[in-house]
Amino acid sequence: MEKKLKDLRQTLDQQISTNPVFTKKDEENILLSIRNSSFNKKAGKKKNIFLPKLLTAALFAGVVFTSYTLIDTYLEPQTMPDIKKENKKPKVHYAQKLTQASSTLSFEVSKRELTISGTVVNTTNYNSEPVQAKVNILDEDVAKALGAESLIIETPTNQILKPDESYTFKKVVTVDLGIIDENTFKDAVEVEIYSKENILTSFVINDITYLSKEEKEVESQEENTSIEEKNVESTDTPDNTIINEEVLEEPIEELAEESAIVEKPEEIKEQKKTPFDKVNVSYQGGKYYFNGVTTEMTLEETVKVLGLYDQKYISEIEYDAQSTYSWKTKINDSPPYEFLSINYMNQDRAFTLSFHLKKKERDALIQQLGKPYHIHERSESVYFYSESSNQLLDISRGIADSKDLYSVDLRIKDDPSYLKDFK
Amino acid sequence: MKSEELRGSISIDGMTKDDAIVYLMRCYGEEIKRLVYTFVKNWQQAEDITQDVYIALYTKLDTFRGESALKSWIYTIAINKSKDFLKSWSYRKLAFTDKFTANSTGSVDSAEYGVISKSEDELLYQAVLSLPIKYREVILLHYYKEFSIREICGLLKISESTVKTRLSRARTKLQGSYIHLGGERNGKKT
Repeated sequence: MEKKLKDLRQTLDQQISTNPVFTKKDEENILLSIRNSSFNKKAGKKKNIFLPKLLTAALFAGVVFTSYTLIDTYLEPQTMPDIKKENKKPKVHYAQKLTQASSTLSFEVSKRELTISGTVVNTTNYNSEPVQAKVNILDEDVAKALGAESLIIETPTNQILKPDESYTFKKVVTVDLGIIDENTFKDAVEVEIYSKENILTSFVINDITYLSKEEKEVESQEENTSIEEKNVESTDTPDNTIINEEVLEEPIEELAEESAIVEKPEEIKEQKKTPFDKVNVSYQGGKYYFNGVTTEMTLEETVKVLGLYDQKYISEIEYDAQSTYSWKTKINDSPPYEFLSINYMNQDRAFTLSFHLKKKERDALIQQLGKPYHIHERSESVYFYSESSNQLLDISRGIADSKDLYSVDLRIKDDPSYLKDFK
Repeated sequence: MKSEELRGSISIDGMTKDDAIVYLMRCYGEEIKRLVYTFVKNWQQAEDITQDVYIALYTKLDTFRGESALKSWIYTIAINKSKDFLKSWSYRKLAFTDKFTANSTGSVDSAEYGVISKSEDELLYQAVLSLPIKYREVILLHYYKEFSIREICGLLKISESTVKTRLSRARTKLQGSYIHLGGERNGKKT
């Protein structure tokens, strides 16, 4: 082997390419990029000596004007009615909107029990007013069977949601319908979360599961698995986690540590809420959210909102313990596009969130998000940027062009101005 | 590799920035692009990263202090840019996608299959490129680019003992990988 290593230079050069790989075209491309890049433009702008003078004059005028205003205010008679002060009464802000994180309907066929459950999150920066919840029955037959068009969901008195806090609801009702098929509950159940004055969110639940008696038993057995058993298995893979072993090259220790994190008893309590019908992108308080989760959230916080993940992927890069957790969506039909994936650096906080959209959905999302920060037409990339949170939302054509898919990535970027350099 | 080249005796003093960058491309363009390729294993990315390296060089030419070796400086930028890419979300997504779609036809990873007809050199090449990056980089810098251990310390900003340990482990791993791929009839002769 040592002899082979001594000849490695020749071997690799032969294997990489027998022809030169850095061509005249590379040289021209680099020079072109240098000419087109912003630092050259900035250098050109230096010649404009009029601009600094204008700015100085504007600054001077500003100082004079401010001084005049201050002196004028100081000399104002104190007997003048204090209208301004009256207007400065502190305003109390409340969260005007909650975000749906998950929602499911499950119908236990043998008992004819319909369970309506889900979670909403306060993704704003304000506390909410006390919230209440109800279920609206949109289908006449189901409403007749229930004997009501609306059902109140019991909420704790004075249920206020702080920023990033979630509220999980659950309502079990018996539905005595003659024939029940897969369309019975489709577009039939709407959940409304409201305060005294506003509807904070409402959504129709179409994620429906039909449970036979056996399935229910299996579920309850899984729930009853003791915490001790899980602690004993703490270095094994969680039952509901798929680890792509092929990807694991050797960071076994890292894996054990990461597994330990997700196997904490309080997290095991979280059930799977996937697949999500849709990944909702919202913008609240200067931050973008995907189904109520955002960058900088810990895995624990994310699991509370999204439920347990479906897949876990360990990166081959060994500089940092990087890992990707994925939650199934129904948006697209083939892996890996059917996941909302969140990447964690050093088992700490989410630094990239990603999912895929079809063209029509991508267009609708761009429309929803308003004016982009930058559009790169050649690559069909559209960027949105929040200066307050430094979040860059990047909607670009997916890797596999033939799929006609677009990736939606959310990540932290301190200065995205370089994106504008490339024409 | 000549020793004066290693020390970076090439000088760009007295050149304009534009002249210097052209000169540096002609001196190092070929070897930098090849080095970057051994990190990222993708020609399109290697081209983009090489371009980034030279743009970074151009912007930093004013700050270059002649006492540090020009070659080391360029290599440091190239290695860091390559690693940045490997750590990036787009790379991980690409790797993740390849695992599912198996669309990496012709890539080094997929070349593990059908090794029977491949030459020993080709197998060694595949074995090197399949090493985890922290072992691959020391093998590449030491044996492919012929940097000394001390120079590698400077390039990677790690201690001499770490470089030695990584080199030793990298050799063991490389041998294992080479035999696994079918090198020298699965190691019977090694």
